[in-house]
Amino acid sequence: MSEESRRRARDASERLVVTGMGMVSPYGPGVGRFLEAVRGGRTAIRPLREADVPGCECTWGAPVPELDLDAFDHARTFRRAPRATQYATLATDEALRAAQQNAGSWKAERVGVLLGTFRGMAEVSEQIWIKLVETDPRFVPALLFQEVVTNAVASAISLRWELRGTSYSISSGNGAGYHVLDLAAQALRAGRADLILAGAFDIFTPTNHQDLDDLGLLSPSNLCRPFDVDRDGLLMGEGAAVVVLETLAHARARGAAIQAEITGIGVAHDAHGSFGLHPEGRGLALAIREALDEAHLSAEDVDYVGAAANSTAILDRAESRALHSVLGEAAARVPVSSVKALTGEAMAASDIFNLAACIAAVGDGLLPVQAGTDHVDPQIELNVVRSSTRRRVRAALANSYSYFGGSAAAAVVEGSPD
Amino acid sequence: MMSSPKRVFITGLGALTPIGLDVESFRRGLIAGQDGIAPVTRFEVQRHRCQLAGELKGFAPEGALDAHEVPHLSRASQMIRVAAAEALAGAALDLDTEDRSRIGVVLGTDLGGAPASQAEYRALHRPYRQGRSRGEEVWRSHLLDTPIGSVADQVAARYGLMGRSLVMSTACSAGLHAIGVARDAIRFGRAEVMLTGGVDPLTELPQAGFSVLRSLASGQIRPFDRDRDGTLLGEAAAVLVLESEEHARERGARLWAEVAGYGGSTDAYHMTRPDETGNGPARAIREALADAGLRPEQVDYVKAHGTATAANDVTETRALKLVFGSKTRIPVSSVKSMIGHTLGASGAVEAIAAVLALAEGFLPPTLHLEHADPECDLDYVAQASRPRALQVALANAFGFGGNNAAVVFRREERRAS
Repeated sequence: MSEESRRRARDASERLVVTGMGMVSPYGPGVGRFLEAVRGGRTAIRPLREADVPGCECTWGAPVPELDLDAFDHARTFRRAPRATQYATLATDEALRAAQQNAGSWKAERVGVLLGTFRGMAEVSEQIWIKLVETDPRFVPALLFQEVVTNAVASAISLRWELRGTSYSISSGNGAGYHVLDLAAQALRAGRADLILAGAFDIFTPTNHQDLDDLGLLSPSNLCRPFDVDRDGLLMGEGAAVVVLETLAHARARGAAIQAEITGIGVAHDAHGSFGLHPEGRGLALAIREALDEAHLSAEDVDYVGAAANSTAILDRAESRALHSVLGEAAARVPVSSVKALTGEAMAASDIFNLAACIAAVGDGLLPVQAGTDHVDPQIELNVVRSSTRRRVRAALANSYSYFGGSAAAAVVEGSPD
Repeated sequence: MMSSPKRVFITGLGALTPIGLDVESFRRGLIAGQDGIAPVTRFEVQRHRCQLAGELKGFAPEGALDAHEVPHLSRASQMIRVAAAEALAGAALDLDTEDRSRIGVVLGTDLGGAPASQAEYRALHRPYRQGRSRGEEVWRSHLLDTPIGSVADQVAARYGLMGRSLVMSTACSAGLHAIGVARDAIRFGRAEVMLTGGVDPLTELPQAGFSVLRSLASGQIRPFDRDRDGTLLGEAAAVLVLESEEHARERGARLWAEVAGYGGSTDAYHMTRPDETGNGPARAIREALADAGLRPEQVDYVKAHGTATAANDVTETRALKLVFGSKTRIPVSSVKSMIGHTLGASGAVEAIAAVLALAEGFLPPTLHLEHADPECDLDYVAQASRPRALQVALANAFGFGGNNAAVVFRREERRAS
């Protein structure tokens, strides 16, 4: 089947396209700033505030820099909101501008908000617990409690843009980003919405950092080097990212500029013991296979892999095993990199950062650089992108894989069909 | 290519509730109109304004789970694992012969394995917990079990289910959205079988939080009553086994009911209060009915969200009148009057009540409803259950942020041959 006939074989009402993107990453607000940094190999990882990491072996990470909220429209309404809501709101604003969508251009009942997260509103629940433990249950502030539910971020976005369609807030370990794409595709194809704001958020908290340090998951050497033989743990990142999704039919009908098409999505689970990843990465392998099958692509058609690897011993190896089992010989040739080398493990938000990098790669062929990885683990045998690289990318594979629990997902990104 | 949508049936049920620790005792409790509310024992309650809740009574996970794993699981994971075991046993599904990459898990939860009390929070997290402790295996597994998504991972891992697994966390509508999303996954060919439902144990954080919002009752939960003064929290776990019609009939499974339609909407009105016009819930209900291909007059029973807060009960009554007409006599009842508000589990465990009502032919009661609010003038099945043959039941669930879900269940007459 030729390239065009393969994609045209699907009805335009079932094809899923991205018409806008927005984010707040460890580089600050804006997709452009993120892309410039990751494709130039510039890291966002730096020392954390000492007060946040008392007694920790790992003291580095990639926090979002302090924002100048006055620079944004209607800042007053969310100055006091939790950081997750601030970041997701800014990301949504950017995504809607890019998609040239606003309150005048949609039916509010037909626009949905679907967000994924790993730790949800942990930043808020930690504040409440401190009130409970150190003061009195009767002193929990009401305004704090209303922000503790996982869907508080989606509610704030629905309120701000008066969106009345269905709204999901989900979690599936730290890899919820492509589960959201899967549910968005399901909802769009079932006719439950015309337009979906799909995204993810996760926020660095001192308690979570200290817990992960106690668990031995963070890098004691303060280095994030996915796939490196000397990798010794992850570093925490954070942020929020949102994409505007619609069917190709809907995007064409309104004359939208299409940034990319998501031609395949796969979602699966390792289902291996409590909290463990399967050594062969069987859940991720299933997800990649499902995504490639849906896209009608073979292993040789994949021109770039945006990896989920986060510099932990087990996850990076399991992801590599999954790639080898599905892509076969092509696995050793196809360029691979993980943006987490530069942004840290931003949990569910990392999935959408990765998606944005893959969308940009199919756009202009520039790949994110895997800085910091000097000696690729011989057990891994992947073609890691170590310096600024440009090549033709027709199809990119983006992976999502949870180091907690074993949830896995993959998305295939191709260029705009127009 | 999207294949034509499949019908989806419930073939197994599992429930842990304040009025019964399995589906059969839950059913008996619903018919008897049992009140599951009692003084809180799960945490130090002296300094809480509200000291009542619906706790599980005599829950002993050691009976259903391996004794060695119980100390390693959060209470949420223990509860959902016990409910899943009951549902799978009831469905008589032989997992050894199934393609487990086509079976997944979607659960609703608000708090998952979060600490239940100040004491648990102190034991788990720094700075209250002193020193490093990588050697303590129980502490380690509890910390790993705290993310909200973990309850789904635990079920997937126990049964080797490699399909799509996730949790919905949309506050009080989570458990019902979970059923809708799991149904859509089968309906559109992304899975063959799904375990769905919800879980939330009683924990101290919402007990304190709903108190400061003045949402908790001083004594009894009195939905739709003029003297109602709020809800009370409960704890529950619920699991429903969903299958495509083809898969269920081929193996001759018992069909409890069809998950016939699903709808969702958002009020976009306020972070916690509902839009009191009822337009938001009405849109979700209409979408669910349209999805099921049913007209409003074909619905025989409404399992209400029915929290007994001032705003919900009036709003929900208005929404039902918008859909069913202002003179409707359709029976409506609130299961929360018996088990309390079980948060992320409520949509799922109360859906099981609706499915039992369909299958066994009765209307669950609204306990403690003595003097109906003048603005609540429907038939709320006050105080006692009634026998009634039913074909179609609607379940509602509404959450913070005006997040609304509605699911329509239809009774299946024939047993598969």
